[in-house]
Amino acid sequence: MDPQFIRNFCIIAHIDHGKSTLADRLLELTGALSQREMTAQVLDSMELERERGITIKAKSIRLHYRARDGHTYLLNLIDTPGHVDFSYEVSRALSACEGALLVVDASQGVEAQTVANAFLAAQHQLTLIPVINKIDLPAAQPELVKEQLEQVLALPAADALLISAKTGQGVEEVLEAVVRRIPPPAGDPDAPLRALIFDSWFDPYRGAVVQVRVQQGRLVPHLRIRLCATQQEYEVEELGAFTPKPVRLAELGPGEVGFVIANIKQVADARVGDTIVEAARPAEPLPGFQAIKPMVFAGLYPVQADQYEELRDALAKLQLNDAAFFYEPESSAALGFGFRCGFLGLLHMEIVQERLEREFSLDVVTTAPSVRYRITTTRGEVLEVDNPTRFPPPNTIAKIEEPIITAMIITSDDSVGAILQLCEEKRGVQKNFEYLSPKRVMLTYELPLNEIVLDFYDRLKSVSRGYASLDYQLAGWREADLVKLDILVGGEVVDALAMVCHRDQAYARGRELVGRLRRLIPRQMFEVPIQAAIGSRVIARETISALRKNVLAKCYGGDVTRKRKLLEKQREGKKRMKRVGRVDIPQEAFLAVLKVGSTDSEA
Amino acid sequence: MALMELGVYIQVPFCQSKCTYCNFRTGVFSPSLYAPYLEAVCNEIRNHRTLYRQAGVDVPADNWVVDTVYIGGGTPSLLTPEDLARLLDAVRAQFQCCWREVTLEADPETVSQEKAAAWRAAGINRISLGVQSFDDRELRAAGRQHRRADIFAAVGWLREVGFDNLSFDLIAGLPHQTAASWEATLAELIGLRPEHVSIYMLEIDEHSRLGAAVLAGSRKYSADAVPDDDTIAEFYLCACRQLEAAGYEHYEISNWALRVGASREPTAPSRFRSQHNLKYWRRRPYLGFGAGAHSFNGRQRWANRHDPNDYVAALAQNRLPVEQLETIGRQQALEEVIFLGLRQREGIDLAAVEAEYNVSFTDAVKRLASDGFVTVAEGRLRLTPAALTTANAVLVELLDSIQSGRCTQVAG
Repeated sequence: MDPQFIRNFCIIAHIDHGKSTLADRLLELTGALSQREMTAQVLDSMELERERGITIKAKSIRLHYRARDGHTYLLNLIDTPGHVDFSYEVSRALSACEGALLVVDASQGVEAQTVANAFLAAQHQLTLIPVINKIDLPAAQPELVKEQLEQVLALPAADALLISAKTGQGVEEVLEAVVRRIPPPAGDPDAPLRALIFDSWFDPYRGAVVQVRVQQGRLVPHLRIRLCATQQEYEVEELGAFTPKPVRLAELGPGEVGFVIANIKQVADARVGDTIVEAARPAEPLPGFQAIKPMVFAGLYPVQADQYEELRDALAKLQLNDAAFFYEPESSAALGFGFRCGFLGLLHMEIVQERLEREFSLDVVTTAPSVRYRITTTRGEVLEVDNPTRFPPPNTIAKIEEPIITAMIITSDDSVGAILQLCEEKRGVQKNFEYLSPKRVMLTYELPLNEIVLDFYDRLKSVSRGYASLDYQLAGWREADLVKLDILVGGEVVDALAMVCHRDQAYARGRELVGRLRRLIPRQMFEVPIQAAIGSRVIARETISALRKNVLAKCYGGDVTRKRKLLEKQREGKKRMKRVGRVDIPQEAFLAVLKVGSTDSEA
Repeated sequence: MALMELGVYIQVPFCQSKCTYCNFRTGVFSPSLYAPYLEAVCNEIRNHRTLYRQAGVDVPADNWVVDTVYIGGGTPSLLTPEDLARLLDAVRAQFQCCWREVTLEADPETVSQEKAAAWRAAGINRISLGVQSFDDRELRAAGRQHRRADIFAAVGWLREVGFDNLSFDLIAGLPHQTAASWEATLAELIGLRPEHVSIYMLEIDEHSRLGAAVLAGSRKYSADAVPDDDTIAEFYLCACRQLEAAGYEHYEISNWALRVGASREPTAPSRFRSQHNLKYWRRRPYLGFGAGAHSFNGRQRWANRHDPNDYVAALAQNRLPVEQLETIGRQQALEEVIFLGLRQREGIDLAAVEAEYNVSFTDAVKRLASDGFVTVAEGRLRLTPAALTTANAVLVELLDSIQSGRCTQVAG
């Protein structure tokens, strides 16, 4: 294929600005799918993606478009994940493109992810085509959005396309702009092969299916290839592209995008960002590969101990398809045997939890998410600890550093006050404060990641009544005066409830957490004290009074069955709880830690 | 062949009105249903052997002798004494009988001197009176048809015609009940010296109108005036103290029997314990006749369909509408022994149960004993007074110790 007639592009947008709808419309217009085959949002095919409206895994689709210049172009639409947890995958997808459609909602305007994505695209030297979507909405203010684009992103207002992906208005112009404005890919077909992996997923029959963009050289069936990160060699079994139906191809040349099947067992062996080279004449790998590191950690435990094996198998299956997901066995005195899991972020964690429940019908208890701390001991050792229960004793700690993020928040000016307050409370350091327009403000803050994983996003949404948008990236480590807060229930430390927080917040959080636990743990046959402690010093205490009434009085006319059923119901309820010492603790209690620091608490 | 004592229960599911707290499948039905219903029950009693055989239920052996009859409801005292006599005659005609205790449930407002005399003549020797409370405001709010004065009138007539075994039901936790009104109710009850008392703590569940209102947080049926659980538990404990002091034997979680004569001795059982109800706790056989009646023959449990119309229709075709028929396996039998047995203050013979079912509860019992919920004395495992209001939690604990294998299996 002559690269002259190839265009590789992606669509980037803030969540809900209409990326998937535009993608669907492009597919429909180019005849990739007939109207009849269109189900809403074809690209978001996983059940969860559809429900949440978020693209989790990127896919790319090959389209044929006969442009007004009379030529037929091959357009590769590379889909990108739409959430900050997956920003590395976004950046890899961008590397596979020469241009990007920057979609902005005409009524919402520029949001945090719009800016973050636009910056990212600029870093990759992509040609940006601003697309103002949803102009059919009564609240659409395309002129205002144009101004924002100029002011915030320095994108000329005249370049912006006005469309409605929903009605189809202006979408044809988008295709024309892709052809005219985005440069064709370059690359020598005879040079040694270099192909960028920008996505991979697991197919139960074929193993890892790898999406690549060929930068130079050629991929052909039976070629022996090498993956640079692992140095493993494979033979190409099959090449193809999605139209969106999979189509087999005889070759992928420079600038082309497609999938490779090469008997690769799991996605962890074909990492996103890695380079495929020819085994016989290996070229230098493309720059920018990073093994993705989990940022958020939590324990996952089966509710019923006998589901441990099932949980392990399920996690193994999930990992086949999700190289960013990490797990290893751990055990907790409170929760028994389970797994320490690492995630890219909170959304990623929720997705894994939901998939366990939905696809594997497993009930799991998730402990409060934690980040990875860097602890220097008094003996000079440096430890990385992602589980509060593994914190060394306080007197052996010389210093603790915690991961810091740079957060970009875009909001309307009337919620700025509340957001500043929230950021301060979350130990943020302001880096920038900028008016994007008289009514819109962009804030840049450095924040500890552990404050973000608690409930920052929910609270940001709530104080801004849903308007504020957030994007963030890791920005290194910062020393902080952190302490481990232990929770004792019935006099016993419940390891799974331990949390790390700043010393100044320990008292308030301790009180709040024990207050929440008092409400979540049902009354038992005896009085149960709940305490929060730093080391051996108790800083907060509440008491659950003993249960007073739990007896079925009537056995009417010899109806023993009814009695037995009631007792069975109570036994079932008890089984869903975890027993620590003598106390039965319901699953929700383990999530109470998550909610600590929220203003909605009644404690 | 030794004789086997058998209980007979007859269900009369008719009420004049439905009490707000009632979570049973009884209700208000047209009196035109009474006659066909009685006919159906008599039919069931008459043909129980054939009907049981068809339904897959073991037919009682020839050596079974009916020694207790309990006519419950509903409000069986709504039926005419002649109808009640017919039911008892049907039992007499089909079973060997040696009646020790024949109980009729009655609501105070349905009692009259004539009826009382006729009941007595029919062979009924015990009346279980649905007193519930002596406080008119509480009675009204609960949807009861009687008032305080009706209780006194009813007891007067019953005593007059010679009933020397009366049982009163009370409910702890009715709307508007206070510590003061509850103590007043207890004092009035004690003053009337019924031979037997049953006290039930109000159950809040979605099956009663009051329960549903409480759960929904509504004010219907005075749901907002229902005392909280701690208060109800307190009422119950108060009743325990007062009845004990008044000479009643607390022989089962909800039941007390008056100690008189030789049984005034604290260790001897009162002769006014309900012989029929003891069969439920002791897993002795009883056959239930009528819609929704439950039966246990020592091996199987079953119940008849609860809807009287369905029941009548099935019996008209000489079919027994059995549901929930189950054979009680060893595990289930053991569970029953525990949760039924421990309701009795005399508890269970631990060694005998462990030997019979080849299990040991040592660990669970030790744990519960150290928490003060059970005691073992003279080989009998009992709930302590402290555990009575939370018996379910203790029972669940013991039952779980069987299932999870925490109780060690004895070798052999």
